[in-house]
Amino acid sequence: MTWNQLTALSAIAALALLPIALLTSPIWGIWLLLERRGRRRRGRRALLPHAERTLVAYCEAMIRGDQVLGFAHVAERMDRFLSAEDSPRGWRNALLLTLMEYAPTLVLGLPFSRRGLAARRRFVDRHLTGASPVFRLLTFGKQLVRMAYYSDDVARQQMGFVPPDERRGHAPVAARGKVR
Amino acid sequence: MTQVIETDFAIVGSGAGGSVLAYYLARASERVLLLERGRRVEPDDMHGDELDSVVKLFKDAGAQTNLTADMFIIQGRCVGGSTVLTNGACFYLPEDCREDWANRGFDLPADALRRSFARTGSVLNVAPLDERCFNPGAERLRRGMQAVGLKPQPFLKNFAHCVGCGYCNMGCRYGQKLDASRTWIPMAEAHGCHVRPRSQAYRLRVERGAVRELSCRDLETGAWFTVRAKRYVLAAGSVASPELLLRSGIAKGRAGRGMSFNVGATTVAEYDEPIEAWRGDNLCVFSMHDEFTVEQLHNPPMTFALSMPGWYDRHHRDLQRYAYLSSAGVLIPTGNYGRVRLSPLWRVSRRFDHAEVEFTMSDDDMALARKGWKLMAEVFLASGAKRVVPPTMRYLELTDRSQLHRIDEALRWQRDIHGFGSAHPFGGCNAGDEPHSTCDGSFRVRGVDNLFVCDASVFPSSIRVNPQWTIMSVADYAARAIGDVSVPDVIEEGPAYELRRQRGTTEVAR
Repeated sequence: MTWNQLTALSAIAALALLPIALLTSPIWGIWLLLERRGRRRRGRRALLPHAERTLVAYCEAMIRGDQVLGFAHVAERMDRFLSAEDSPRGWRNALLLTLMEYAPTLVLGLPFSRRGLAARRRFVDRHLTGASPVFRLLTFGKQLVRMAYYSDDVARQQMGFVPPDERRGHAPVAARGKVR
Repeated sequence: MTQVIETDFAIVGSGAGGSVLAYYLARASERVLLLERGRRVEPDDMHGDELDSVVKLFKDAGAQTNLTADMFIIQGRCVGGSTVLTNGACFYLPEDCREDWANRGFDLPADALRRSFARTGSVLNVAPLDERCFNPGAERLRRGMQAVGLKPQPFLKNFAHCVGCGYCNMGCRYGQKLDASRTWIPMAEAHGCHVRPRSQAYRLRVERGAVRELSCRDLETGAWFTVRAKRYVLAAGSVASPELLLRSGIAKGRAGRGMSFNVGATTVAEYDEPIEAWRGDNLCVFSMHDEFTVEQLHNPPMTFALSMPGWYDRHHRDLQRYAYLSSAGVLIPTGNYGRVRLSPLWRVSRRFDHAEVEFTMSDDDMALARKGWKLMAEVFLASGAKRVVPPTMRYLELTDRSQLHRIDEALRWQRDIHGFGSAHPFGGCNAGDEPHSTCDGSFRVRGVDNLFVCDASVFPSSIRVNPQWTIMSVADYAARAIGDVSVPDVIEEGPAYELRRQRGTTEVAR
């Protein structure tokens, strides 16, 4: 499914659900207000609390093992990434996390972050690793998680990576000649 | 009141094409305005945090994909464009591609093009990569290539004094890569070219067969401004140049068509002992195959994690073996059946106001890709790797040549490829005399007198090698046609010239 098809389908679904949405709008409105207040309270600029929960839950499912980085820290990095991203497509990454969170409810399951680790992995196995057309877009979410986790200094050290300036025999630029 | 800027030449995009053109035009005393959507990023602004670099330097923070979201399209968005993100690899345009283009009506005479390559090469300081900068994985891969009958060669690179940090794709924080932001752009500015970062060229207004003005937005303030120029040049790359034409209603039915790519994905191999392939330049040796190019490519941790196949603990565990791993890729040239078009809702909201790329590999190209990845696995096994992980969405591990056929089974469709993408999009404003050609052979947009395109979007087909030097050389060649300016035989300015003077030589390395 393409983004445009998804947009068109979402528009059709939104039209069909408009009466219900209007009737329940006070509830949604309050939910959105609370989410925004929660974001402000947590000092985030892009990630709404439910999106942050999803990201952390996805991180746990993807990287759990001998991780050395707190997943809240990963969420903080992702928040910086999402808020600094200068792109008309930037909203898609935030939407991706919302879709990820509530996609399981389409099959009458609990939201992604409310599921246990095994259930989360089953969901990922069933819908994301096989890249089924409906959920293919969500596979992109794993790239977000990996970007935020493995770009951190602590995670890189755990991999055994030594930054250039700390390598033995690393010649400073001045010794090689400055380019004007 | 909207600000109006009057100039002789308005160039949209400061990458490989726009920067070269800006230099030659400014040198000829023309008034030149160079518009760039991204920021100006200096080496001191880069600190080795890959996530930070991706946000600062990459278009859409590296998240630009095709419509079906199964292919990354990596482009730069900063002063200097994608040249800031390259590994510094420089290739001549393959002769068979030049001949193919000539048959399609885009004729670049061999002699003139050779002179253009020589001139741009002298500005970029193009020379074989110093073997002292090789990463430890390069020697192994070279042996593997030789064992399967390939001929490995060191890359030609546009470096001054390479530090061998391996972060080329994140911008050179040591300022040693002589990309457009270190060469052509400061040289153009020294001749009076005005560079305007964070400026989005939004729409061209055409009247009576000529562009009258260009509406632009200052992305810092949100203010609109208008550019009025004698000539306009689009050099914003293979996605943004056709996007601007489409949004302006120019070249309808032609702009955006005929797009091709060098596509690829990374194959990873593990050795018995730690090799620490991250010590050194990340792109050291390559080998030309008849149909594609095999290139060693070892990325820093974040990018490596993105390209490493696998899920969950296995992926995490594999990455803890980073010191034992080495990676490489194959550049697969595709046919020109891709297409750029505007999002159907682009008029509704700024959120939808962008270009979309339609591209799914044909069966023939998919077969070629499988052939390339099988060869890549064979090279790694021949180099002594104990296991090879090809770029498959479902994890696959090969330990023996007899298992190569499993790649055919695992990679049936484009969506089966892990980390699939391209940093080399071509076409979209194709030059030539084909029915879908947007430009004529002299880079002019058909039907518009004062509008030209000068970037990889004019390429009628994929060139199967890293394109920055070719784009610059084609821009060098185009300067006469676009600007009616004479181009000097030798360029005696810029950092590479200063380096040669310091060394007391006028010889240009080859």
